[in-house]
Amino acid sequence: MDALHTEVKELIINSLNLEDITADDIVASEPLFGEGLGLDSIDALELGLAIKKQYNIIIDSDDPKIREHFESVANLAAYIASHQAE
Amino acid sequence: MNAYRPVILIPCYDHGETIPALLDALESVGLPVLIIDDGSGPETARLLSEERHRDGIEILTLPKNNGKGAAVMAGFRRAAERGFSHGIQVDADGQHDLEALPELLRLSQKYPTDLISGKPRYDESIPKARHYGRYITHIWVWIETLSLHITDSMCGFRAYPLPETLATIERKAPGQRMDFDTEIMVHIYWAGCGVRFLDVGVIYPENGISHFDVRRDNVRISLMHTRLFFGMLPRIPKLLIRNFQRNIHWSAYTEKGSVLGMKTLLAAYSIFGIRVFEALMSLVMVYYHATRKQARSASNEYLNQLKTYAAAHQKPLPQNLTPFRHFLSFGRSMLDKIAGWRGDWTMENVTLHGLDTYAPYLEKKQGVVVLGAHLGNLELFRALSIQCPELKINALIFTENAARFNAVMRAVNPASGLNLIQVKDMRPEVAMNLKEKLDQGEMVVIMGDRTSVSKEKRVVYADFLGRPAPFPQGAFILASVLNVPTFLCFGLRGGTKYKPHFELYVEPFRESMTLDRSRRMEALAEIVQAYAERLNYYALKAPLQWYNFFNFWELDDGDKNE
Repeated sequence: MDALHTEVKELIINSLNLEDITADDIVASEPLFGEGLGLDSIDALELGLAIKKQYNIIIDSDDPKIREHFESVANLAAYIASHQAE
Repeated sequence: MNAYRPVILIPCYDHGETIPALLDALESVGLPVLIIDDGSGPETARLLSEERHRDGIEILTLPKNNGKGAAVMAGFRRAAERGFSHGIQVDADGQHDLEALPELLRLSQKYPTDLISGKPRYDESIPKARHYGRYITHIWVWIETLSLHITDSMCGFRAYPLPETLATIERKAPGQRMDFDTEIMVHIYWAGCGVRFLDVGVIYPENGISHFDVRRDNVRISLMHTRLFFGMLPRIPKLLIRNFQRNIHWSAYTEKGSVLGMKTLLAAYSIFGIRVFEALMSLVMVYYHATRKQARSASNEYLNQLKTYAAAHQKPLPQNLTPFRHFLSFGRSMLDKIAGWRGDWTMENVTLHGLDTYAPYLEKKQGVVVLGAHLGNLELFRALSIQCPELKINALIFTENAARFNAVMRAVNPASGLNLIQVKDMRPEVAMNLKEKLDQGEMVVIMGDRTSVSKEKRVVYADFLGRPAPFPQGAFILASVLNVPTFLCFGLRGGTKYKPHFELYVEPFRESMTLDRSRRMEALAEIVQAYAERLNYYALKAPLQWYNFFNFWELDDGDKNE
């Protein structure tokens, strides 16, 4: 799981061009949006697209937990892992 | 006010077999019952006389068979003589599920001057032909009442307020037979009484007797609708006023407010064609124009801005740019959508401009985003596009109001529901979904011009007709993160009133749009301004085809729609 956390962090940094940040600066359990890393809704879109591209995952619009999946690196990684297991 | 005194009315013609069971079932309700024997044969007459001993039963025997309507009306008169206030009609064949009876009585007591009617919830025993027959009658009744209020006009499970009903019958005798149920309901509605509905289970009993004679009664029913149609014409103003008093807000405007009118107009168009549609639509627009103050002032605002801009830049404009003609143009665009989905307009009615700029992308299956606007009629082109199987157009819809409009369109052509992507918000999963479509070489259409309905707070200002107007950020951000080539597309109506010709303009917009983190807002503002300039250009080409009926230059605070 740690490897996947790092992978997701790298994905965030690369896809969003977060130049001054390294994977170590991101705490897996902290919120990505608003406080925490301070990403905005445009970043959310970009991140969604990056995840789709890298993992070939599409989140179902009817999924009530979408917001949760994007809350933190840990949640994202868990979601990706659950999808890869399928 | 007089006390509530209901009596159950059962018109009966040769339904003797089912009567005892029906009366048994009604016993628990404990209401007096009036059976009207509509000249039944000896067998039923005998069966009925065996029921005379029951408490509270009266059997009114008519000397000869005159039809269900005549029987029910005889029942009304007899019931009124005996001092009852309400007649509760139940069919003799036992097709109505009496579990709904207490609710029928409750509603009728609560709304003592309204007609309360069952609305059948059919099980699968309904014969298909009757099902379609009912649908045609629905459409007729919508036209006759200029309203969708009456959702069933044929169910014989009803509570009639006797004084109001008898007054209506005195003025105008309704049909005596199978045409009765519908005709009396329309007349009662016309008289200004309320009509309310409740669900009732209905079964067509296997050994039930139906007196419906297909040929004779269909002729009768057609005659009735003809009578009602002509009866409706002088009542148009009154009926329209009633509709709009009840529940129309042209709020969240164009789409929501128009649906009710649209269904009626759709029916008018399907049955009578384009000329009658135009006539009715003009009447509706006369009414809208007279009463929709906000929409009218938005139209004025827009037209004045347009004229000021055109004068300042020496741009030619057509004569007679008035809000009324603006409304008419909107009404016509609704027809065009319907006609497009019906297949009445085809690619022969269209001239394409600039399609060659898109052709290479189509060829190499490169998905593109198209930024559209509520200028002209892109929906029509979506309808026409189904004739080109290689072209797949997805449309992103941001509002809930559009859902109602789309429901109407689906009634015209179920295919209209395909590839509509309904979203409330600009969210990651939306982008992921759209990207998937684009990856398959499809087209995604996003409207770039509406702020009011979606209550979009995040806007970018750009000059439109010489004055800064708020444009939704969401549409442009989405288009940019999807990171595919973007096009602009405007479909404008030309030709004549009855024989339109459409011009579809396609033009490349950006090969890619990137919003760098460091200067996002500036980049966004540049893109939106470029879009607004093209919108400006096409608005001057077709000034009356601007279908944003809210003040485009001001942000709606979200409360004005109430």
